[in-house]
Amino acid sequence: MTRKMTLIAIVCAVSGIAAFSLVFPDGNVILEELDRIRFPDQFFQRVTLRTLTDGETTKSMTIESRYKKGQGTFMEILDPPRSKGTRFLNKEGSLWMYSPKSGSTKPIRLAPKDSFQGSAFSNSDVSKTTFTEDYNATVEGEETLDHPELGSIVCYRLRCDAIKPDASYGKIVMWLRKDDYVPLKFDYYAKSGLLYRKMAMSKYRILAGRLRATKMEMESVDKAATKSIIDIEVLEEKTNLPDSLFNLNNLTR
Amino acid sequence: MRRMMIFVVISTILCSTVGITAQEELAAGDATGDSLDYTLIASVYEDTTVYLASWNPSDTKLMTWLVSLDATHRFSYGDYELTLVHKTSVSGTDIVHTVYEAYLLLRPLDFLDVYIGRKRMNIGSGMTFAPGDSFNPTGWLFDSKTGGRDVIVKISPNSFLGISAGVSIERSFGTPVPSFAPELVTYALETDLVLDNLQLLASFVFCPDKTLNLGTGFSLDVFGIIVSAEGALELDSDVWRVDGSEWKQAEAFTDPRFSGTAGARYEIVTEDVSLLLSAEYIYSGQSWTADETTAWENSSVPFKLEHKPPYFRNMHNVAIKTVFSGWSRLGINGTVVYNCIDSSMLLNAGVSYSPYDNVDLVANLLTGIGGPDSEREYLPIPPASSQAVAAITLTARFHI
Repeated sequence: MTRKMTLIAIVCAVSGIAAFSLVFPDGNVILEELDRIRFPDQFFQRVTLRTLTDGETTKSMTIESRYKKGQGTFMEILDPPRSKGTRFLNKEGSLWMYSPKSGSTKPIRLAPKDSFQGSAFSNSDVSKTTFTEDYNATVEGEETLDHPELGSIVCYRLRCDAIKPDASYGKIVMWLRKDDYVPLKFDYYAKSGLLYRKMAMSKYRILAGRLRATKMEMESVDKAATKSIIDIEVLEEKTNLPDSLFNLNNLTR
Repeated sequence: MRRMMIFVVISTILCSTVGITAQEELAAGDATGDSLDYTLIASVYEDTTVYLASWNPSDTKLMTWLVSLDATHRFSYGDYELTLVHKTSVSGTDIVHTVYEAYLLLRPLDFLDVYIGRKRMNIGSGMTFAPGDSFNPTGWLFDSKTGGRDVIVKISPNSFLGISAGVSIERSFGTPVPSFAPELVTYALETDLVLDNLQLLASFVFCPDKTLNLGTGFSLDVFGIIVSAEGALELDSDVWRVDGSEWKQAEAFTDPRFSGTAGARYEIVTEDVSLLLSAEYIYSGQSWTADETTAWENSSVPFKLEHKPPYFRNMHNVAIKTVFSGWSRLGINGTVVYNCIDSSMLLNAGVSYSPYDNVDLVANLLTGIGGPDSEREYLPIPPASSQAVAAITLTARFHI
């Protein structure tokens, strides 16, 4: 009897594992695809970043950025006048800023994990466009999500754990549409395990040949009165951005 | 005169509008096509400064006001770019123009930038002091953006290696009559390598009649703390040393001196506040020992007029900087440079409030603590530094 029960348990376990691996694709494959869905390998974009805090005037910023896979991200603030001309260069493991109003001609290094210009986004949220280098992903399961724009959506819940010590977050949990991995919302956890940022995506449009979210709304969990919204105004795929664009020389040009 | 200032301000604002429009058109196509693009980065501000003869607030020595325009104009056309960085100040009937940089940038190849004109070449990564930089005009703490008359070539073969080479005739302009003197031409070369969170630098500066300077340095991001260090070995042509109580000029290029800096910077930025803390130890080999400091204090006025103190007065110095902003548009900053030999210091502290996105109101204190022959001598405050002890400035600034 005991032997029979053991056999049944083993069969169930094996078939369960098999079923699990059949139903859920490899998390890292999904993460790679997500990186492609979010942004092309080379692109130019212009975004507006708004930060809304209860009782305060909305802060708005217009930013242009250029990205090339493997090289980095080069950004420049166009507006408001106080920050106009401020440039950022994000390269693997380092972030640099040059402000023409600083009274110096030298770029300075920034910490990627800090808030970007006082918004709910971190420097790396804005300047780094891929996750695969820093996180290992596993599918945790399927869920049905009520999305304000897309309605009831069956999606994968993808758990991404940091594999590099300098990753900005300890863990990111992502909800992606099951059919095509279009991202719906992300929860960001600190290395302590504390949930501290939540991002919701909406306004899906065909940009640079793919369906992409053009509105990203980030909330700080510990600062419920503050949220920041990025609206993508222009996104163009590029094929010929020179590597030299992502050199420190270009920051102080 | 005021009409002229008003004209300058209105023109700047109009140009600003045109600039934004032009930039948006360019950005939409992201093309560096053959249309003329103009960008303006500028602010207009009024400074009212009170110079104190002593720490008694009623002992005001002088009060001045200035209306100034700080502007960067950038014209781009295809692979050409013309940049002018200047300041125009008006006080009563006086107008002062200061050109920090004015250069033409040519980009014959994707990886090659050629700058011709007045341009500052970045040497070193030091926060307060770059020991390897004997190429740019010396501006010390109060000006690190004035460039020299030079030609600079920047090569960016890839995204992580940068090579810069410069030739400057700036020192020829220091002579009473500007003239070309081959022995005063200064040459510089710097390489800059960024590998993950490590930056490595090496530099070489040479002027046949003035200096030979070999420098190296690094900066490293250690869990958000930026640690940096630099060192340079310099042979100088104009070194004065004390022998007993006598100042004597050392034979040119015979007395190599090491200078170095080591420090750390930490910045934390949240949605509400930002705080920057930095501390740097500075060893300046070309500067004075304690004996030389004493000898300088006892030197005659004609000698002092003929010989300026070195870049840093004494060999051992510490620079500390802090910047805080938050609490709904409030900012506080402070910088201290402490001379470890005579315990004198320079102090610059300010409080700012930004009632609107484009407006800053600032109160600033600039002072030196120590005797007349101490760090106070470096204060850029008229009248004679032995008279004024502090400058208090109130500023209203509008960002265009």
